[in-house]
Amino acid sequence: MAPVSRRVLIVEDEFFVALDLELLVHKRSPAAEVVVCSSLTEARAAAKEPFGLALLDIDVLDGRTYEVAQDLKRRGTQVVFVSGSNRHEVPEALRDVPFIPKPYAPPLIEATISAALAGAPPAQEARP
Amino acid sequence: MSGRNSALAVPPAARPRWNEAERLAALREYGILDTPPEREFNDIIEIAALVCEAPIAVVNFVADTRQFFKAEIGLGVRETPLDVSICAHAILQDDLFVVPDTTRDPRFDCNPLVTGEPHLRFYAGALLKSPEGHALGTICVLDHKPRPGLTEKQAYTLTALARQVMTQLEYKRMNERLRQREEEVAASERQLRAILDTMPQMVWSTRPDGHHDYYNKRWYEFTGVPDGSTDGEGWNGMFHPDDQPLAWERWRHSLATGEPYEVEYRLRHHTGAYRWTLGRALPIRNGEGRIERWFGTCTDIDDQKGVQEALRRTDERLHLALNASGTVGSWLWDMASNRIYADARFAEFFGVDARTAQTVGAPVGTFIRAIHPEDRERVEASIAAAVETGGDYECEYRLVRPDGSVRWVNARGRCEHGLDGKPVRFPGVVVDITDRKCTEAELASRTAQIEVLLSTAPVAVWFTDDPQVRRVMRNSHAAALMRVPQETTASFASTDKTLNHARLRYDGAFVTPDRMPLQRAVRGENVREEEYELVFDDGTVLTLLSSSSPLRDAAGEIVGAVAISLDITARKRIEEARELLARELSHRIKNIFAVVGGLAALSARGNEAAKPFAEAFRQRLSALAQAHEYVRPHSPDSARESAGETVHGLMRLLLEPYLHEGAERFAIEGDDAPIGPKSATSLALIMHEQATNAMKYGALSVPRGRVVLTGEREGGAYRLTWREMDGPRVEGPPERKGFGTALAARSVAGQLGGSLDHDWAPGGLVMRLCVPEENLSR
Repeated sequence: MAPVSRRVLIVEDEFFVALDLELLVHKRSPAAEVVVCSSLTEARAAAKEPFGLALLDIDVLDGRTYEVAQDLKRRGTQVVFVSGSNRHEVPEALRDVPFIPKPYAPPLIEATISAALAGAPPAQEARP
Repeated sequence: MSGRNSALAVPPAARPRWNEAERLAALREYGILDTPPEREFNDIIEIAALVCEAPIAVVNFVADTRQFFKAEIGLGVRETPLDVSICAHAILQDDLFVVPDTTRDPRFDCNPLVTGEPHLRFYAGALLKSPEGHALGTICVLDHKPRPGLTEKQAYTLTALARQVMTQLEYKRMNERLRQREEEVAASERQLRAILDTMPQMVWSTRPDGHHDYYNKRWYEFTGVPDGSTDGEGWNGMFHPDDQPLAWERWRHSLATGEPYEVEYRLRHHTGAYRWTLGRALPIRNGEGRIERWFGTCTDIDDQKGVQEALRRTDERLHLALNASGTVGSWLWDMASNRIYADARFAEFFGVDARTAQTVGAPVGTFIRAIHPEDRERVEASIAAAVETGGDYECEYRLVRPDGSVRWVNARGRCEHGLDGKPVRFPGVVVDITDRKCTEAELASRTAQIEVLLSTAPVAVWFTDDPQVRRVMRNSHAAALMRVPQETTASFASTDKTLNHARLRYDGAFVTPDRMPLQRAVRGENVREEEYELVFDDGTVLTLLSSSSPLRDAAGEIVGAVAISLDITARKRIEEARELLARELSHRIKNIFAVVGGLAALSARGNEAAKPFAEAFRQRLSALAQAHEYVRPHSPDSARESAGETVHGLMRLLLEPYLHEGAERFAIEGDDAPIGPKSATSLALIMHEQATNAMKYGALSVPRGRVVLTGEREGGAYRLTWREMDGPRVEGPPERKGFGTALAARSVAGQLGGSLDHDWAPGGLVMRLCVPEENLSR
């Protein structure tokens, strides 16, 4: 198993998007170990393992990933939402989690991946 | 002593009719006791002494324990005790009392005045008798020697002098009475003046000829004229010129006939204003019925006059209206002959010959026949009841006219009973109320229509005529909505617990009764379509769209309020579902954008030449997606990224990904302007190209470089300037225009109807976009 810092969890029920994200991760970190889940059930199971970074869609087939995000965050995983949902629907406790709206610009994903896997916090949102 | 006692015992026949107390009271009344000597009385005894040739003459009055000498000759004293008095005996006699020799009369032989000094031997006294018959005293002559008696001439003179004394006394008494009377009159006059002056009314008096000689204080206060200036006939000048002739005429009439004077006129107040005044006067007559004075009053009735005027006008109008509409007829039912006498109008109503009805009357049956068959029995019963009890009669019924038309009438009368308890007369009037009945019927039908409307339309209606809104009427919908019986008038403001199962919520907070629509309307507010939630104890929540208005009477005073509510719970649910759908759709679209972007990238995988294309494609796609999201229709519930749809807002959203790299690299300044969906996509593409190029070649390609975006609104145009700074030196326009740049230029010209120019200044690229504002908001 790769070091925790290189372990990336992707939760995304849209196959092509998941694949794109996975490629973007590998583009930045060819040695990264990527776990892709397309449902909440899978994600819950996978989240028991340690991860350095988690790219989470919010709405997946069988629910919302807020609980998983909380769980991961508590254990030190850098969590980033990549979602088509409204940013304001995110619960208060998860407001500090970076939010990349869909459709995303690949460079932004790449920058986020680089920052997380390098152990540095991702670029904070600097919204006016 | 015994002799004197027996001497005083008077034979019953001579006993006077008066008693001693009355006699003494009468004496006191003359006020003669203890008065000084007077010439009139002295003259009288001089004459008595002279005529009777007596050395002693006296006018004496017999008081309770003494006798008082008003005048005396030859005695030298003013009074003596009664027990030595001879006159005390004399007053018990009639007229003249003569004692020829006192020593030979057992009544006086022991009298010290007889036995000792001054040795009185002869006495002759005439009685002083008041008109009422009281013996007050005597005028007498005495001698030291016995005498046979008085001559006839002497006796006559003495009794005449006695009458003369009484005349003098009477004269004095009258004078005294007169003086007292005058004093009383003066006192009562003073009291009268004081009373008149304190009266709230103006009071005046005149001589019998009408000459005013007195006004009370109030008159002068009211008119403000100097004292005495309205004496005589000056008063008439105080009246309004229009009222002077009438007042004069009435006054002259009263003076001529002695009839009471009463007239209303406008009297000039000291302020100059004329006030309506009621003037009245009555004559004061003496015992012979001759007028001695007139006493009059003026009463300020200006305040009442206004009311009276109004009443009079109303009364006149009523009369006019009744006469003009010809709706009143009257009847007199003579019970003995059982005939009804009626005026022409009444007869006409009942189809009876007018002349007959007016002159000889017509049998009751003739009139009853005209009553509508359906009403006849009821009317007859009502009449019978009035006849029986002798009470008031009132009945509304229909008449069938000779032409077959039907009229509604209201009949009112009263059956008068005679002393024997039998009905005598039954007078009354009848009024045509057909119009009113029609109005009533119309009103009833309209009310029914409204009721149907109120219960048919799915609108809850509340109504109150209570300023406290403790009593509220509601239609069936409102009752159902509130889950209360329709007949209950309880409100949220009332103290009972009828509405305890529900509460009203506005904007998330419970509403106190005073802030509820109906209460606000009662206070004059108009509530327009506010959204409330009706929350029930069982958890049900209804959404209501409520409006309310005050109800005003003709004068504009608020007399109640009405509130209506639409139950929009279902509509609300549909709206929410629609909003959910819109959000879901938006979410899907964004996902599709993401998928398409992902697909593009995956498709270019392994093909190095296609990679930049795929990259650029998906970035433009991203910009479009963001523009789409920004301007898509939002409901109030789906919060937008930034408030309003404006150029600045869109710019922030588009440049957000680049802001991640450092906030200070972008500045958005100046005027903002609203944008519409079409211009948003164009602007998104343009800005995306600018940002991409700035990242690749321009100011954003170096860490210190930055971009300033400035908006300016001017003359209906919106100018947006993109200015790059602190970037690499610009050598000039690029040799080849990229697809993105071309796309941007075409979109500005075509879709926005504006202009776009680039200035490749050495210090940094400046792009100027100029768009008519009206196109921007499309």
